[in-house]
Amino acid sequence: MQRRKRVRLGPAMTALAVVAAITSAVVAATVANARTGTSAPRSRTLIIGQFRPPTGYIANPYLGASDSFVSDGLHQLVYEPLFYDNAETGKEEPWLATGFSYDKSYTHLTIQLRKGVKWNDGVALTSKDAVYTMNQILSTHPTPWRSGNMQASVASVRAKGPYAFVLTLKAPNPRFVYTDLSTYIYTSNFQVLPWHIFHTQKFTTFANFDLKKGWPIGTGPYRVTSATQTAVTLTRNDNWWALKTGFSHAPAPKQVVFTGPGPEDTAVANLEHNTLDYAGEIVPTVAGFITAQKANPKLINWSGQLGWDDPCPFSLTFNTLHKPWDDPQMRWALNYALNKSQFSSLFNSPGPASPAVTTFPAYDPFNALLKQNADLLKRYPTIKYSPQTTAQILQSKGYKQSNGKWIGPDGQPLAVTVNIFNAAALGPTWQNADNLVQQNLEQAGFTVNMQPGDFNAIIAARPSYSGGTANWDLQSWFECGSLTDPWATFNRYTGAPGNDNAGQWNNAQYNAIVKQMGQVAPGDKRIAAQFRKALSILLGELPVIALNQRPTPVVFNTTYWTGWPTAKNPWHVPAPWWQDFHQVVLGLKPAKG
Amino acid sequence: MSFSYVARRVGFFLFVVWLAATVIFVIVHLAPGDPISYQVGRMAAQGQGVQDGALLIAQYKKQFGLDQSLLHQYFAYMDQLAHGNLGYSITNFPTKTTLLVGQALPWTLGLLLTTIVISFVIGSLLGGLMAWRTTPRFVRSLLPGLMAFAAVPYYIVALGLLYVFAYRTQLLPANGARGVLNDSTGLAAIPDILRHSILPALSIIVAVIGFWMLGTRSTMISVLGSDYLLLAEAKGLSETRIFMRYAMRTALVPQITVLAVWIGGVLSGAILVETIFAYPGLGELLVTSINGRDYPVIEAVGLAIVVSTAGALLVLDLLFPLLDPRVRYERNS
Repeated sequence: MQRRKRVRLGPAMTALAVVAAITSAVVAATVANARTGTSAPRSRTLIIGQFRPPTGYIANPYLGASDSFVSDGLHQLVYEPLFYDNAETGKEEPWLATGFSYDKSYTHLTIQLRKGVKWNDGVALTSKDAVYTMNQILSTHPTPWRSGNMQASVASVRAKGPYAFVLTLKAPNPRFVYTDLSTYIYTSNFQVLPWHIFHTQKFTTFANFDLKKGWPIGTGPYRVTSATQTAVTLTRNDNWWALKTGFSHAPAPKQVVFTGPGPEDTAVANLEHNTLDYAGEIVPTVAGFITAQKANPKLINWSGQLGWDDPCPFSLTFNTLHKPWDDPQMRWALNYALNKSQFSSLFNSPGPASPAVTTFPAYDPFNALLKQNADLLKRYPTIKYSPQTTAQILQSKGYKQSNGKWIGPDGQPLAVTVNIFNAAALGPTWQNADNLVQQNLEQAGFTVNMQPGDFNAIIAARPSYSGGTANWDLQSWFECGSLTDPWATFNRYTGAPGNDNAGQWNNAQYNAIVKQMGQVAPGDKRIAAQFRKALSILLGELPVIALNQRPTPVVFNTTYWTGWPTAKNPWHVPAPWWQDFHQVVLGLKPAKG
Repeated sequence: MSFSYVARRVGFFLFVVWLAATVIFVIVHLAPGDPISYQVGRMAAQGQGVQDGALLIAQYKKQFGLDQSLLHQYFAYMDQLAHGNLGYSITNFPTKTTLLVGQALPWTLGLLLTTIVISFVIGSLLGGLMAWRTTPRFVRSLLPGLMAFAAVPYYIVALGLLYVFAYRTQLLPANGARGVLNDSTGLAAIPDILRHSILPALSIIVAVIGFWMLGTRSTMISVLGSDYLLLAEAKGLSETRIFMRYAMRTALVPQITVLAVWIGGVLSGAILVETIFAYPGLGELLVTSINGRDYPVIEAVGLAIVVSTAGALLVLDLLFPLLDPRVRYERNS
């Protein structure tokens, strides 16, 4: 053993040193080479932190699997709708179409297509494409993605010359152009497909993706030049039809990249370091935006610190088939127990709270209608937090308190099962939100059974999808409905086709009013009176508790690009995940020359 | 090594794979929600309107065979597996599951193979040196630090590395596998790919290296008193040869067994790391698939993890006699 003491380990140490040296050399070389190989300069590239991996590369917008690929790049800049419905200005902006006309019965709708529109391979877009697309939608079962309303509403379609087509509707529907042929909440349900590409393919399985063949073919100002699991790159098409016909100028960015912003900290760092020109919706949070803005003053949000109001407020739906929640007074008792300002603060902090008074988004047309009906809101103070009122109502119903819990006339505790989003569903704030709801209800004396779940679990518990019965008393959801006209939000709570009415609330008088409203065109003078009647019933019955408006961070970086829409200059919906982002990109200008 | 031994080992491998596939199948199908409800629910959530949602879901379930009993679905799945068919992804239909796994697997394998080799080589060598009494003091001083890292989960190391190298110094990218402004292909893409893999790889290496070091150090200590080392010295062999060919070789045998088992562990850990770095490997695919309840893809990724771990153990079992001449598998030996 004495000898081993003298053993020298030169070769072993050398081996270690060699491994370490090689590793270091590789690291150094790759760091040094990091910024080579770019195809367009950063100053001419728009980088959007809005991305879900296009896992299967499905670009056919009528396949459910296309959602991530189409939503994060294609529907904004490669495909184009017939109309853009600008929810900020309330204007319908014709694009592939020039206009529409209804007959007197609102059952025949004629769409005029714009002449000179060409697919990106140079073939003209005509009524043949539109009729082919609609026929595929109507004849395909099970119902294709984004086609539910169209199958329910359209009886047939026919061409009327090369640049017009006529839809025959199953019932009078003066809103069909807005809800299905325009960019109505996030996307247009009707995306015209190129007949010359699709007619030889199987509509239900054709992925429409092959970069070597130039697919996907669209009419938009960009083409897909690269798609990976971490980014989709779109390159400007300088032969764009709108440019050739003089209908539009060319968008300034030569290249647009949709990529993942990363988790909160990464998104903040990417914004600080100008690696992204946009991040929002889920990350960064309001607090994250404030942190990033301190390091990079070129960052702006839609409205100061708070973001743009998403049109889908968060809510809690009552299962009105479960006793005692079939009783409107009991629903009101529970509503008074929830502190909605505090709930909203969880999402908006450190900005001001924005509790929702109704399930309408806080957009100008609805704010005006609600202002006209301020007396109703006074009579039904939906955002009033008053556990005392809860107690009064419950006592009037025969409930008695025992050890801080309400016991019913039948001797059973007043239990409520809450099926609610968890952090995995819609972000970490929901963990605190769940705790707050539980705390509020327990403090008010309810016996609470919380059932937090991810998005899938929540959907599966909705009877309209599971086909079974709901085993919850309250369920969280978000109320996507109206944008400029009130009918769609009201319609959510009827049994009419096209909505899921998960709470199974049914009021014949309300249904009749909403049906009448649906048969008059948006903007009709009769709507104001119908609005009041429907709102009065809805507030009195309270089948759904509106929780909070959703100011969603929409963080833009003005280092490379200016001209972004903001609350001060709301020229268009800012959301990059909406199909309307096409118009925003057209409005951008390079910050540096 | 007899044929019957090989057959037994292969049979056990197949049994493990079958058992794991069955457990994964059951767990996945018992989770609340299903891929069809998820798709249809998202249609509704995005304001697209759903007519008669329950009927629509029933129609799609029928299309994918999800309307059948769980037992029926299980036998159909096993039949598919027996024919080497992993089926179609439901949320990415009409994409085949093998395609999705195939496009994610190279990223994970690339990340794991490099990290495993680097951490195993460096960790084991350091471990051996720690036990060798003449090792310089500065090498020994690495022990406490590396031991501390061995106790830290990958994702914590990942967050620390992100903070230092991506957020503060901006030396390395925080996420992704390629630069969004880098469209180079072929060999020219390698620097960009390597650069994006450094932080995810380091997260695993730093956390794992201490583990290998401690293991080899322990086995080396038990080896040091062996007679054959004294004999080797007595024969006048060089010091380096004694360390590398005699001491390290013996000390590494149990470590190699652990290495095979660890492949599964590292693969699971890599899933978290991939999620943190938005690295497009199996981990990202698994998370996306779980969110969408994409049964075939979840099952395929789970199976890939099981097959890789069990496969590594099988290969090790078959190769062990070559590594350790004392080991013979003949029944009468």
